[in-house]
Amino acid sequence: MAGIAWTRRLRQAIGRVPNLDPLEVLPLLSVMLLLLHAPQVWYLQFPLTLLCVAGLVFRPLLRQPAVWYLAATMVGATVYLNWESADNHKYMIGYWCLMLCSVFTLPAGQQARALAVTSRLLIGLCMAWAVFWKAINPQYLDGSFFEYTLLVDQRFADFAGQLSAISRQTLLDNRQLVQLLTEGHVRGLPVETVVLAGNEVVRPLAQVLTWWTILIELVLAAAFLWPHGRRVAVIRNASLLLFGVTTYAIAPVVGFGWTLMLLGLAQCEARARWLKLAYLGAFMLILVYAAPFTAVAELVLGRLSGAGG
Amino acid sequence: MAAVVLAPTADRRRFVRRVALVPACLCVVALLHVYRVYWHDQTPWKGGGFGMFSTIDERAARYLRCYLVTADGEIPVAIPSRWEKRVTVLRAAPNQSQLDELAADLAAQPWRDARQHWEAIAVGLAMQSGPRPVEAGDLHPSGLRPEIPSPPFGSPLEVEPAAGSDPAGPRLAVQSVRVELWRFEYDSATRRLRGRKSLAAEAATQGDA
Repeated sequence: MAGIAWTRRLRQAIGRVPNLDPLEVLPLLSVMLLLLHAPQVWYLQFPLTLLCVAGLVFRPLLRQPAVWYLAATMVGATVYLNWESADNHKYMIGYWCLMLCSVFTLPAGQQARALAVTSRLLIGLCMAWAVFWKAINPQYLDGSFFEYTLLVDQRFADFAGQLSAISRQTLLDNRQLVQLLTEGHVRGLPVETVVLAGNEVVRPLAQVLTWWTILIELVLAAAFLWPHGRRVAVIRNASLLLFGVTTYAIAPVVGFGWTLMLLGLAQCEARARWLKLAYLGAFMLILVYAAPFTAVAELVLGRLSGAGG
Repeated sequence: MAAVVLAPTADRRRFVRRVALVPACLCVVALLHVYRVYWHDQTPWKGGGFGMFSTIDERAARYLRCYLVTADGEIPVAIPSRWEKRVTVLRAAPNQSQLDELAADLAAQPWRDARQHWEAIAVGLAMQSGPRPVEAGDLHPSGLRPEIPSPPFGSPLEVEPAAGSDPAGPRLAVQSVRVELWRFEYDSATRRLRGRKSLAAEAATQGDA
């Protein structure tokens, strides 16, 4: 009896969850994405901000193909002009805007399906290319890449520090060694070789990251490029949410994470209301990941210990 | 997903075109990136092919070293920030002709040692009779030290580009500028990062050296 009552309560709770319409929600979230993660150059920021503000004030504008065509053109042109520094998620933001433009040119009855199909293709292709680059690179496959990254990349410093017990100072020293190698000649130290500090935990940890990353990306590529099917949909959503929740906890690249979660939300089944909320939750979680918790905690603890001493 | 019934002809074609447009763009850009990586040495990290987090050979692993060649030796200098974009492009996709151009532009640039510049100002002020407010003219003490000797090899100097509006100021006697593009590789067995020179360019100065 208790089980039946619990099931009924669960059904009622599900019934109360608002069924988000991706065509309403996604343009608004896209404005947020554009304002916070579009390429940061002066000639893009002013017109793009103007366009976003216009869209927020006059909401129907956000369903106009011309608006998204303009946004895609501006982002695309900026990425083209700054290709040497543009990260891959800037390209994805451009594709995202072009996709919204393309979708809104279709009759209303076809828009949701076009959005879902295009989103699946974009996620699948992005992951397939990511797997391609990793698979052809011997330094990735033997774990060297992640070993180097754990020892040097500041974005991985918290993760490396916590799981491999390497001190923050050692990681800082490693970054300074790289700086010495690349810039030391200006200070009269033309160094050609440096030895990074590490410990015996880093290599196995790097191997785990290496194979976990390629495996999850392979699953994502296969699931999202596979023709539609109910079981495949479960794998797609589970793997994409898992990817978002785990990957960006380690390397908080908010722009890419947000774009992937928007694409995930865009390809959800119309009735999958909890799933849509899960993507929205992951979208917010990725933002939370980027908060400097460790630094704040260290600052507070430092102040407290200072006050205590 | 509610099924959408499409008319078999124009509607379907339009739907397919709209759906295929963006994935096609993604594939074209990614293929172009593959081409650029293999034929133009572009880093897999930059270029839209989604090669990030796949290799150590990122832009940060490629770096430039710049030397002013003088009669007494070579002076290592940092490339001024106004050439930052060109340096970034070179690091993302090294290219001999662009490196030659950068070396030529750096050779056309007058250089000075900032310490000598301030030293010259201090000497100028010390030679004045009695204390007085410093004027703009005091910042250009060219008449006091027309000949600035080149510093000894390897000394860490504060060398910087001399301002174009200060043509007669103290200059370093530079014969040529050499720019080298280096890249480092990581040896996992020894945890060593080893740099190696992969490109170099040298350009002579215009003659006032």
